[in-house]
Amino acid sequence: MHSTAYCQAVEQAAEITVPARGRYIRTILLELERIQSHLLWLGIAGHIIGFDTVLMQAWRIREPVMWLCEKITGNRKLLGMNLVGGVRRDIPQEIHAELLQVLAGIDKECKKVLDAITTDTTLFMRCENVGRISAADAVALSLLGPTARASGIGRDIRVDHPYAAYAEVGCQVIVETGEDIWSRVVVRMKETLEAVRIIRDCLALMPKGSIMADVTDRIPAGRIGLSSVEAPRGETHHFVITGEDSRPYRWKARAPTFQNLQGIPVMVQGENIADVPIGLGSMDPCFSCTERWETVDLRSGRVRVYSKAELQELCRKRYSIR
Amino acid sequence: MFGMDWIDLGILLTKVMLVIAVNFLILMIMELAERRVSAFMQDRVGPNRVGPFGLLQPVADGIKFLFKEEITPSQVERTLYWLAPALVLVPALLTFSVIPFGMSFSAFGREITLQIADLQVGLLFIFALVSLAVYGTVLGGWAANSKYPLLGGLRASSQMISYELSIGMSIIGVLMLVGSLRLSEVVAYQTGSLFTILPRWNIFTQPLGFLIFLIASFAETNRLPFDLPETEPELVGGYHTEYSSMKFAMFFMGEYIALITTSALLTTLFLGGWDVPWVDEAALGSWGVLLSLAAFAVKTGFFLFLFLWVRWTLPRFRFDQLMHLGWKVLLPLAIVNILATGLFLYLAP
Repeated sequence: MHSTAYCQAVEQAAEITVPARGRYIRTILLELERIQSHLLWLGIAGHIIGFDTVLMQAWRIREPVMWLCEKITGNRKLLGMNLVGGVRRDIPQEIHAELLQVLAGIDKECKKVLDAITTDTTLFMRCENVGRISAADAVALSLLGPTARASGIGRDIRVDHPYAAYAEVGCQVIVETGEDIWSRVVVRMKETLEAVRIIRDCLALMPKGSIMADVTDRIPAGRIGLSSVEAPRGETHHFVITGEDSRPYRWKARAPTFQNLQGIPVMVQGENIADVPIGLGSMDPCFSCTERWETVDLRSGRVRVYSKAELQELCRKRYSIR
Repeated sequence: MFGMDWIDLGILLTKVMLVIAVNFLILMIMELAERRVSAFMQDRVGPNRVGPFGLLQPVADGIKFLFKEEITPSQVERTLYWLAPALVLVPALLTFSVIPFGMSFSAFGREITLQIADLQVGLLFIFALVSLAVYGTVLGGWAANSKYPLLGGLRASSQMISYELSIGMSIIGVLMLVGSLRLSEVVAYQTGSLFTILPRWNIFTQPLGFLIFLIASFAETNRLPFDLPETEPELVGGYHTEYSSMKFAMFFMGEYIALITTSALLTTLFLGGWDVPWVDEAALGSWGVLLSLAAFAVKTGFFLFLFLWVRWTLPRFRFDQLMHLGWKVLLPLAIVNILATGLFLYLAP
């Protein structure tokens, strides 16, 4: 996800065109990541409301997805497939049948789970009309991804600013208007099914040819690249300024969780303590993505900005690198 | 000693030891069964490393608890903090003393009842003890002097007090039919048949009372879907957050023993106790006694499995939903049940 966003930013800066097959493979991997992320989330949400059977079942269904990732890339989670200019490995024609068979299994099981959870009244009782964020609030707080789409805001980078192969295979934006946790559950489950559809189409439509652009020259320095990717949790933006020796001069990543967390105060207002964990959980937070660092002098209240050299020095001191 | 001789005392002590030993044995089986059944429902393997099929897992757990570091946080109210786990375990064990678990037989020239104490006020005694168990939870939460246990203790007190009311009301129908608080008479009433085909169990004559009792007993024993005093996403561990080592294990054991006694009580009150339907146990001699014991074990085992089954198939309720269910659904239904039973007794000869 992030590696795709970063590579796209550098490719934009250096004006590299990725071959079609490379873009299709990226799309397949992005959607595989979406499936496993949504299933993982479903399990954790189940655990939060005390439904551990959902946790175990969701993760059992997730396992073949991890298997697929390993089959294609050699890794289960951090796929390590993206390079500036394309992808590292091809998906050979021989394993297509096997991949499609596993996908069919995932599709079937996801539908079964969707069926099971939508008919469970106790689950519905815990999620309906809980953790509401109105469409107006969602816009005002710039909520992203499934959290916004469950409040009726049909924003999706894959459709609004298509990248990889999304323009060719298309993507249906799943929007629910319930504005509550229940809608977020439904949005994510439907997106999972949509992701299976996209992967199938990609495998069918994938053109033959190279998977990697010919990157022979050094990346020119001082260029600017900005790319956006629809991560499972929402929009991810990467901003790059290229530097000397094909190294980045500046790089800034913006993950969706920090933005989504702004919705928490609205969500928990007037709710029970028991609804706070599931409210927070319903936006699929990633707390490591929200880490920020700032030094404030408590006496004067002044914020200090560190220069690059100072930061390097601090880092070296911290890890005793000389 | 109350006109008792040595043989009487020996028999009584044997029964006491037997009940405690069997209770702890079932506790160990339950501890393993909980994990194996949940693993089965969730498509996992479950603990299977310690001993054949993981049978020694409870022993390993017990040893682990004994050797865990005993931590008493500095801010606790010491006396109550130490007393609370015992207040959960002991009443739960005591409850079993009035439950008849088999047919009586004669040996050593006297009648031996398979029940430790056949109290005239058996049911009231049980409710008194069940109410005591609440103190363990509440005091445990309060004595820890920390916010999550306190919230857990508060939840426990309001939840258990509300549901005790429903439990108490739900069995009044049974008492009206039987006309006695003595549990052996409750069982005796249920032998025989109803409309010549059904056994005369209270589950058939008091189905509504049975359902209310069953649902309320989930809340009473702190089991999911009503395990609000110890929800881990909101309250860390609830009332036992600050407990470690054997003190935590005692809470844990108390919970399971309460589960066993509740199942036994459900069996006694609604499923005919040790009665085997369509069979006259008294005519079978000593085989009849064994049969009655087996029947009691099977029925209690069924309820124990039901408790496991429900735990892994339902999500947790929210507190307001729990209170709503208790006060606005179960309690009125229990009162309707009492009125209906009264009307039936008035109209029927």
